[in-house]
Amino acid sequence: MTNYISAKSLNKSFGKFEALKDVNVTIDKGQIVGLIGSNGAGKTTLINALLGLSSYEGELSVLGLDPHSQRDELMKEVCFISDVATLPGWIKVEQAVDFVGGVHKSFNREKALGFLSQTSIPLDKKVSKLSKGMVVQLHLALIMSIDAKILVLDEPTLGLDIIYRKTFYDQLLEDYFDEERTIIITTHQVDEIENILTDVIFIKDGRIMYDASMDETLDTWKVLEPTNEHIDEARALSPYREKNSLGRTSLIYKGQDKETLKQFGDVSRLSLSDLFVTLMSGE
Amino acid sequence: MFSNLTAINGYNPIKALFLKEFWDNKRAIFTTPMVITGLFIFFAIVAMINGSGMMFDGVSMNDHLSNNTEFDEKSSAIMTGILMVSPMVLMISVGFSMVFTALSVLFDERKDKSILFWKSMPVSDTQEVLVKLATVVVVTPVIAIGFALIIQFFTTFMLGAIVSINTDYSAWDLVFTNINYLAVIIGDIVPVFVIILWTLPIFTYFMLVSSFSRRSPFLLAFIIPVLGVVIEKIFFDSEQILRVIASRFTYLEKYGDRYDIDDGGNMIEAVTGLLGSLGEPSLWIGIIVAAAMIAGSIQIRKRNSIT
Repeated sequence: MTNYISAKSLNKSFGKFEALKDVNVTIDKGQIVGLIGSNGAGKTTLINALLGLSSYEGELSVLGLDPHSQRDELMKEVCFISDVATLPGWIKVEQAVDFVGGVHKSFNREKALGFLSQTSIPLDKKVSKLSKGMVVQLHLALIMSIDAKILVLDEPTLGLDIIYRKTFYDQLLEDYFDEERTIIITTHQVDEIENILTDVIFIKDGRIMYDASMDETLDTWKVLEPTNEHIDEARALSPYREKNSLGRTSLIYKGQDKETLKQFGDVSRLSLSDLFVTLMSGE
Repeated sequence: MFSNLTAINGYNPIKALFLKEFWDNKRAIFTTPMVITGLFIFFAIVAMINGSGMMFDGVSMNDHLSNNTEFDEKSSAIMTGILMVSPMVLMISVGFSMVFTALSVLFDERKDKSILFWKSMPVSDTQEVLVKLATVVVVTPVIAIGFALIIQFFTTFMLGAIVSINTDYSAWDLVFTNINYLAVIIGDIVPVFVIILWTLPIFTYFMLVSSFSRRSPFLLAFIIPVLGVVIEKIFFDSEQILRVIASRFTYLEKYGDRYDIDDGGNMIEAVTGLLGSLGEPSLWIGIIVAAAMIAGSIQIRKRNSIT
């Protein structure tokens, strides 16, 4: 099975508010998907549905299971850290390790203790005595020691300092990810995850606005900073958007050949955050 | 053995869930009864040294022992009765602990948002809720009975000491061989669980309230029946709700009778009476209601992950 997640016409409303509108998504094995959207766009609602934490209308299959009715079965193969899920304050670090080992068959205790030894987290302290960053580190150490097929990270690095965030993503790639696994990440720090993603999904007002591989994205979207003499010719190539900042003009193209654009100035790839802003603002 | 019981060695989900509840509710389940046991022993020693002795049935125990000189059925009943009563304060406090645990066990995890962490683990809501129920109505009383035995063990020796110091009688004859230990142990175990079976709908009702309550489950759990009783009284001028609630405590009340030590056979009678109540249909109706409350709690936990 290469198709890990498949959602067809997924809908979810809270009273009159439609949090998800006709969402169609497929996510395959071996992908690292960035799920990107503003606050309230429906990221967490979608993730909660995938994880069986909420009900939904429409068809949804994760690893061949119905998440809502088979959550416990699903969690043998899916791990997640949600931005609001926190370890309880009363649990001691070693108890948390013991507990996860007790309920998860594929938990690697040595690996977890190894991750923890790289931090300054004391094993005999209660979670309530740890700093916010340490709690996140502990949670990540536990989750990354579970041999799961799908890892869902909902704002995983919130509250972590920049050095740890960097090592976290490096670790995620080196020690955790392989072609048998799929990782789904939501974050506000789009730039941090840009270079590890294989696929990207933009979500706005409960709708999927963009869903493509990173290769395709890099291939399709380009930025040209035209030299002054070529600016009109560049404009004639029907750019998707024109941006002016600090007296410099840059033109964003969709599906325009790189060699063609090169004649008019510097061509670079469009960063994910710029693509997000381009697609989500305006029309 | 104890460290084996409290350690998780590898994959063992049910044990892990029980230990999680134990760690979470350690104060109510373990620390409080331990402190009460410690205080009991401490004050008993202080009272013994002061010479005033323990008060029992309005008479100082020392006086009681000095005045009762016959080794008969009655002196055995007195000794056994003293032992049975000795953990009473402990057991009452554990009753309250059980109420508070039942009210918090599905509420706190939503309040501190740890429920999403628990839900990220491969255990079902059914397993979680059933373990929580068992923690309240089995683990908590079993631990309490353990402490009760410690209190009784200590009380036996204290009685022996008082007899040796204050009277001319032999502690061995008047105390150690005079006590009906079997009655004490049956009296520790049987009534507790019969009463729990009778009050099961109440404990499971508390758990149900704790599964959906947004603010104080304690307040909500008591307001609902109080409102019910008041509304029934005003509009129907009847007291059915109150009567149903009170009926669940009938055997708690009857169980108190066994402390009437003037009648030596009373304890055994009280215990057999309790066991006989297991045949009453209303007990089983209550258990069906309790099962429905638990099924409701499981469904609510399944749906309401986030408050």
